[in-house]
Amino acid sequence: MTGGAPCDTTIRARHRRWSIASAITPVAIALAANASLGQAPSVQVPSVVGQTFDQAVCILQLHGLRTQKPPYVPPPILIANEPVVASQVPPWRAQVPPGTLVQVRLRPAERAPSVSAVPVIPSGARLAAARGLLEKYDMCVKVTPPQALKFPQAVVVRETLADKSPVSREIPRGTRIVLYAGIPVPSVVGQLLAGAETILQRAGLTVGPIARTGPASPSETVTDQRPASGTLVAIETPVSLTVTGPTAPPHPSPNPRPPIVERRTVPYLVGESLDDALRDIETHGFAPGPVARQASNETPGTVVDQTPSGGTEVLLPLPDVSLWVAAIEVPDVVGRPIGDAVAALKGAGLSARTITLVASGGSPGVVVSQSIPSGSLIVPPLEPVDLTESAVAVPSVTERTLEDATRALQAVGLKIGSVSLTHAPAPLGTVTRQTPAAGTLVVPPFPGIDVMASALPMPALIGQSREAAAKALADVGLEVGSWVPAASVKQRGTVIDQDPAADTLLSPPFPPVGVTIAAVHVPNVVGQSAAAARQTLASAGLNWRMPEWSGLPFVTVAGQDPPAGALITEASAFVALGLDFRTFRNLSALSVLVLTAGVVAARTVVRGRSSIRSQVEVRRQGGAAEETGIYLDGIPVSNGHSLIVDPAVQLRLNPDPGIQSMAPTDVIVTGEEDGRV
Amino acid sequence: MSDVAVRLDEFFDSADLAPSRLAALMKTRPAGDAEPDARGLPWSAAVQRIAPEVKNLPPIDVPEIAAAAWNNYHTFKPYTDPAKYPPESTIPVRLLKHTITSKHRPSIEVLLNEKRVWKITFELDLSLVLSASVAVRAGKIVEIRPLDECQADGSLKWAGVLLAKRDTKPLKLGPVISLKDGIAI
Repeated sequence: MTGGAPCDTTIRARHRRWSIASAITPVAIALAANASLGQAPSVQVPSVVGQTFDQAVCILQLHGLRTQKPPYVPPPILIANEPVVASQVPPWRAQVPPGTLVQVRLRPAERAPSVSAVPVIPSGARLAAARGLLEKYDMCVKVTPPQALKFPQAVVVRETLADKSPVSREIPRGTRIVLYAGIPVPSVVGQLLAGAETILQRAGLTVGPIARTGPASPSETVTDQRPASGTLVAIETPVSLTVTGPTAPPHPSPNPRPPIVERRTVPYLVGESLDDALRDIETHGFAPGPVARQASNETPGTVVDQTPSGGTEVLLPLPDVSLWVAAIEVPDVVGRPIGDAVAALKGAGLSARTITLVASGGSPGVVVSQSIPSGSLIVPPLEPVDLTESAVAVPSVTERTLEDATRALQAVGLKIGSVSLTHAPAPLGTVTRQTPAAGTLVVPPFPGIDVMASALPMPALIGQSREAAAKALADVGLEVGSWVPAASVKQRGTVIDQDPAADTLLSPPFPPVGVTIAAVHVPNVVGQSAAAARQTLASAGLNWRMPEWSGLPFVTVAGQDPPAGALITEASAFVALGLDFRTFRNLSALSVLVLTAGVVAARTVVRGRSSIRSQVEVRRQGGAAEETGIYLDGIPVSNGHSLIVDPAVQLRLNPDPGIQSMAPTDVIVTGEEDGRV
Repeated sequence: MSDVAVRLDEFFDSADLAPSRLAALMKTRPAGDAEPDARGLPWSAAVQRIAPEVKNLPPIDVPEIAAAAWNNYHTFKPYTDPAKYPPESTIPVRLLKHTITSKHRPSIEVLLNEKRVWKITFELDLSLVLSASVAVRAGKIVEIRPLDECQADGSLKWAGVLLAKRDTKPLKLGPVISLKDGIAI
């Protein structure tokens, strides 16, 4: 910023324009009026409050006043926000002599509202069109050098802000943008010298040294030029020419321009693709101006507006044709769930390329940032949008119990996935490995964190006895759920199967263990003689128990316990046999007595227990259903139908006087002395 | 025991106390009634011995039950005073219709080699509704004359299993129940 800004520069602000010519006129009139009245000339002090210092200098000079830069100039808030005048002395509307020094005090400029999508002026763009475009965005445009605006061929060499910082796409309203102008050297080769001089002067250039290959002649033709055509040079740069006589053949122009015509019609470009439009502009002899983007529902990349409009008749010099192309406005997806964000981008005609997870600490699953800012206008080729999604870091659950691991994962919205077990030197049920590893970024709902936990290997029980198997299980803290007998050729009472199988890894809480024990089927011996039954049971490896008088030839097995088909696992188990004495019926009482006495006598001899004799008696019961049985201590152990389980079994019946209650308790009506009932 | 004691198979339906039926109802081994060495006698074998004996459980002695109920409430206590009621005199006492409930817990013990291996306890609940004229002499109830039909109902259970049930119906006791030795008040 300089205090002596040139006042011949057109000052633009909010589409208002002042010029020296128009501004001096009222001052001159006022001075003239004062002089004619014979009064001391005076001018009314204008208000420069709110103007930048450069603008204030210009305005005061227009009114015949002057000012000087204040000792303190606050720094600009933004690149483009210069300080403005806060107060002035003398004040507004004061009458002062011309040339009075107006003192101003500056304050920082207020932050102006930003304007988004301000187009970047490319190098080579027509200067006039570029300035007009920026002014549409309420930018304050400064052209350097300013006289370049007089030449239609002037182009923008470089665009920057006042302090030469890079141009931002979103900049405050009223930002000063400097356009550095240049002139593309036109081709004058082949032109007559006079025509070449005219072309160069119209282009803002001057004719430099002329080298002749022959005598001077009005029909001299330019055969060479320096700088070459198309070179961007500063305004009024001299162009050296080489001319030759009239006989000299003209050199062909490397880039012949279209023939100059008096007027041209601007082509209709709206609806065309940008490439087609640019091609049509060239075809019709125009030069393309700046291309701006505009949010539109039209197909992205198609022209939606142009300046000048299509069909407009224009005269030489031809203006550049500025284009507005339909663009897609990037939606704001930050803070939205990733699914919604992708859908929103897709709905806008865009796509999401990558989704990067980041532990932001916020709600997982929502977009934290987007690679292309919202509001950006983009045209084909459409660049995909990279999204950053908020995620959570998987906590470390190793060396924790499964319950603790579950709680730790639930605290961050995760859960246990699969649990695999391993026999590891770690406390039972603790996690020894996890997948994904701790610190991995995931987004809930995540399928689950797979963990490997230490487990108890199931002991091998097969082949062991029931007691040994029970002890082996108890030693490791397991319990038997069921002992299931199963017929097997294995040794009775040994384990032949187990569930879970041996070496199966178990994790707390441990399931009850099912154990299958080898057993034998009890054969059916009912109906067999006692001797045959004993042999049958012995062949099955079973013990038996039956009354000692089972050796009687007429005794057969009437019942058995356990019944036929039952499974016996205990090695010491026996089968109790009941014997049928119904054959007694066919014997005479005497025969029975004789036989019984023989048995008793024999048993007495064998066992030497005379007491048994008194326990055995044969009783004949009367009635039609006459039956014979044997009693022990008055308890029938066989009556021809019931099963003798064991002669040593006795029953004892216990009475109970009971507990009585009565209601109502007062039931006596009369009590007569010496009366009779 | 009086002469009018009623056997269980008379009090209940005799078919209910059939051994085969009872054995089927009692086939499930009871918990807690077995002694530690009961393995020598399987329950399935023991129940075969027990079932036929259920009907032989001590019979229902209505006079004893009634006298026990009356004595509980000192109904006849005033007649035990020899000064007021000489022993040679018989005092007729009329009792209004009332209900006597009696709960019995008879049991059968199974002995194997004279050692108890099972104890099976039954629950016998009775309810008697009667009115009677009772003769009291020398501090004893010596005679009972039912004034109306005695209505009786009851149930027999084992380990929560209902073995037999009697709905309320008359129980024949006879016109005069003589208690030979009398029931002391």
